[in-house]
Amino acid sequence: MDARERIETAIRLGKPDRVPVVPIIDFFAGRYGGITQHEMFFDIEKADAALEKTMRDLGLIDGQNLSYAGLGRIMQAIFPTPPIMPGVRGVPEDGQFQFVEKTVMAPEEYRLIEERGPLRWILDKMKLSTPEMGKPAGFLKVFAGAGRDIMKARRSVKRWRSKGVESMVAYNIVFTPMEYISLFMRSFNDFILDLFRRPEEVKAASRALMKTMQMQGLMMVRSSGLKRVFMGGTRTSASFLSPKQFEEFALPEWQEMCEFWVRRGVTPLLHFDSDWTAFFPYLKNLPRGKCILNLDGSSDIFKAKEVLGDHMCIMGDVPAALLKLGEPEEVEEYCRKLIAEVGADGGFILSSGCTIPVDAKPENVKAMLASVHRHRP
Amino acid sequence: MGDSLAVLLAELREDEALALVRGSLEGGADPLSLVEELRQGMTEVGRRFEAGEYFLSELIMSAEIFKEAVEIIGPHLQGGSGADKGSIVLGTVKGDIHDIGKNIVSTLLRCEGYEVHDLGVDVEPAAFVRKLEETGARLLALSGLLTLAFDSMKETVAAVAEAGLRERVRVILGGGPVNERVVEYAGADAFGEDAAQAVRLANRYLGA
Repeated sequence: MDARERIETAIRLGKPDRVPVVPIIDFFAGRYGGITQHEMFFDIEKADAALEKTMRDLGLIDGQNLSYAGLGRIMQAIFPTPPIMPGVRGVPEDGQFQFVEKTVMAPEEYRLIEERGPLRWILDKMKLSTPEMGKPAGFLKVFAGAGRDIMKARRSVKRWRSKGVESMVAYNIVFTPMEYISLFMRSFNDFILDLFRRPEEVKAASRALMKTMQMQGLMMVRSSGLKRVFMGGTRTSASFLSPKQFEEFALPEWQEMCEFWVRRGVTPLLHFDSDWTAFFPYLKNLPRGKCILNLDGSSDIFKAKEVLGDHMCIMGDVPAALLKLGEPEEVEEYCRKLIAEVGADGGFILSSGCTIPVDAKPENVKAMLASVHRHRP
Repeated sequence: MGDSLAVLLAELREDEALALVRGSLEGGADPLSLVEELRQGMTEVGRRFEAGEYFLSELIMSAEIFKEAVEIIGPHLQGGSGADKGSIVLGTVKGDIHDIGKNIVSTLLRCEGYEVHDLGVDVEPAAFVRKLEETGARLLALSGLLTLAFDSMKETVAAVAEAGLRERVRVILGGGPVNERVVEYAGADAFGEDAAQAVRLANRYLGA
């Protein structure tokens, strides 16, 4: 089996020749490979060379989960509030990428999304947070830069595939409307209060945004040629919402979004940070054998196997803290347990819990990558 | 007669709770007793959270109502709100700007009656030390989501020790990846898995 077959077999709940290992590795690989985080985000050739060195020294991967390599300009074009980006606007070259929790939308604006049209409304917001986008030249510059990097990313996907490393999603990043509103528009706290104070407006805004979110994703899928999409879920998790709220607000969105992709033969990679354990039973409403549930170490992945093992491929979840503070033997033992228990009967992809941290111990990363060769389900 | 302020708060009936606060103040009610009722409401919210009836979103909403109510009552209070359970210095450590968890903990500690000095995000160790010296606080709560925060937490605890304050000051940690091992790495005293646990730790260490 090659890496791609191994991964696809696991996604369809089958049992590959061994468990595939598909971490989010580029923050770590950038530093390990001797480049700055800025270079990792803005120079995909350098980032790819850094990953090559990392694999040479520490072991091969079957694929890259989300890869941030070369995505700097693309993220600047699709994220309406700019994150803290290494080497941009005074952030140190080797600083840490982080989202900024900021309210850029007044509560009364929920109604505006439909009135103004979702795409125009999003562009209005982007112009406010990135003033240069307000001028045609600046606007063109941002999107031309992103376009160039999309071409480079496509070439990188092909290069890696020829070397036996599968890119899961490249830049195919999609949000459900409520995750998007909470992350980029209203900020976490205000969004939560909105669910109590103006539930119908939130739902209407979600309906208004859905199509735009899907179309943006579809454009990415078509241009990348990769039939998988990365969908981050945090703010609608069981860490924050009650089951009643999840049922009322978020589940219909997740269902609609996943069904949209599955109808088009695209696999949703549900990158679910924070604790989703209490919501696992709801995920049975998503299409069977067509989605990947990627957990970050906060959810109970063993419980996920119990509840969802026959329903969706499970991916995860070597915790960031373990990779930084643990010893190689502990990392190996944790991976062994994942492979034996979550990997039993297939349907499992070994990955990092969210990302391998930039300051992980190299010997721990090595132990993680080696574990899929040393242990069998 | 309608439901009490404590009940309205516990049931997250925002408009009714705020209307009752305003009405009571106009009717000459004792502002301190209103604050006390709000605290009882928050205690009930905490109980429901512990029992798994309420979730974090409800905790956030209740804290918001509490805050709004206290803002209305504030000008009527003479000699403070009776919040004298002690001072706490809190913030997200150097290099990290995640503040969702920190803000929730900060709000809940205030509701509980603590004087909270929230230094914000990306806080240098020296700034924590200065605030501890200035306020005489006996509890320092450090938050972080990134693994690099572990190093900043360690640095901060070392700076507290360096300033000769470690005897007096307990240090608690919070944030997604924080666990017992991070407590040990940073040289802190304990960590909270969730916001409610942070409040329990504060009560334990500050003797409430």
